[in-house]
Amino acid sequence: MRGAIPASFPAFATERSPRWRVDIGGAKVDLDAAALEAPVVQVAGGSFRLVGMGVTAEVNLGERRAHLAIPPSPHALAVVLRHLLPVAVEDGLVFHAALLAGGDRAWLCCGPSGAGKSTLARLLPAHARCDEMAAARFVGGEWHGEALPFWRSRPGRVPLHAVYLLRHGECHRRRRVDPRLALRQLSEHVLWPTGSPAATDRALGLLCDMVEQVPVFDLEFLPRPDVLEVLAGNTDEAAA
Amino acid sequence: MKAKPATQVAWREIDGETVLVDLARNLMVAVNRPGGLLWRAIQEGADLDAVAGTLTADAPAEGRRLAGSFLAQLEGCGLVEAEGLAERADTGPADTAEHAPRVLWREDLSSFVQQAASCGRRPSQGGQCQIFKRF
Repeated sequence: MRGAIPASFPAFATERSPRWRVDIGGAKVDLDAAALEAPVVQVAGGSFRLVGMGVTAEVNLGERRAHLAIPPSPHALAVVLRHLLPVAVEDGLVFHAALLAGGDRAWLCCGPSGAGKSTLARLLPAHARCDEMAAARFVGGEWHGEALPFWRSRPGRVPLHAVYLLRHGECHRRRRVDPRLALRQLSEHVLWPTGSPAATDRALGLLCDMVEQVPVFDLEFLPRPDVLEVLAGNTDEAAA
Repeated sequence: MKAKPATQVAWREIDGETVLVDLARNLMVAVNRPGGLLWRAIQEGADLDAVAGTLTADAPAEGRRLAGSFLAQLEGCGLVEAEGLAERADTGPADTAEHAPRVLWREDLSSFVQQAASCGRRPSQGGQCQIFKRF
């Protein structure tokens, strides 16, 4: 099952005592057919079950135990995590976003494919924590950005200073977005929990709180490293 | 005029708007302040005719007409099951008066298979999720 461990996971290994027990078994599947199956998620009474894309996951959320039957693909675990994290993480949200940080400030950069998440991470490698999915968590009375082990990433949790909605532009420019519009625009970048009305309700509440407590900006940018000055808030605009 | 919410609709108020999320339909909808008033009334099982009559100060019948149109919009989104909408025939452009309840916007929330996070493409962009082939 070594092939089932994504290359990005070892970076998140820790010496701390494990909080979850996960038993992993193999599953023989037709990967071509499996890729077309939409996962079905059921959440009830503290248990989480996912079947689809060649994966079967049985999770006891209360006891923090899981049994997985997955094919020897590094993406199979990602399938489970992408559905499980939005349900299991009760103090935050998972976004389709890059996470960058400088000092004690993190910037969550959201956008669909092609908006520039990976571009930003490549332009600012020393500041990039992940370029695919990241979490925003409300811990200790403040919001934090936290890297998740998908694609290219390295671990870290940093106070969240701003959220950016990315798009390509002819200069670097950021414009503040009011909370109502931010809620609408960010909603399509959230990995919403499926199979649990309670988790959905919680996620909506967290998103509303976040847009009121963390400034959200529309950011247009050129593929140049000095976009860091705008990300960091040192300036709102830089000419081409 | 009666209505009951569809199951599994989460909602919150933010800056005078009420936002509704129905993941069974991958749908997020925002309604204005009068719309939020009616939505809360639906949640509480209140008398919708009475609440609708308060939307317009001196024309309760107009308030009920506006409420009926609004409920028809919500029903069209699958967010409520309504009955007794005697004046529901008009489901066209909503009345834009400030006191008129209406849906402000709606967004389709991506499901996992459609989400760009899985393979970088949505179905509209062509190509299926080839997640297992990307290594």
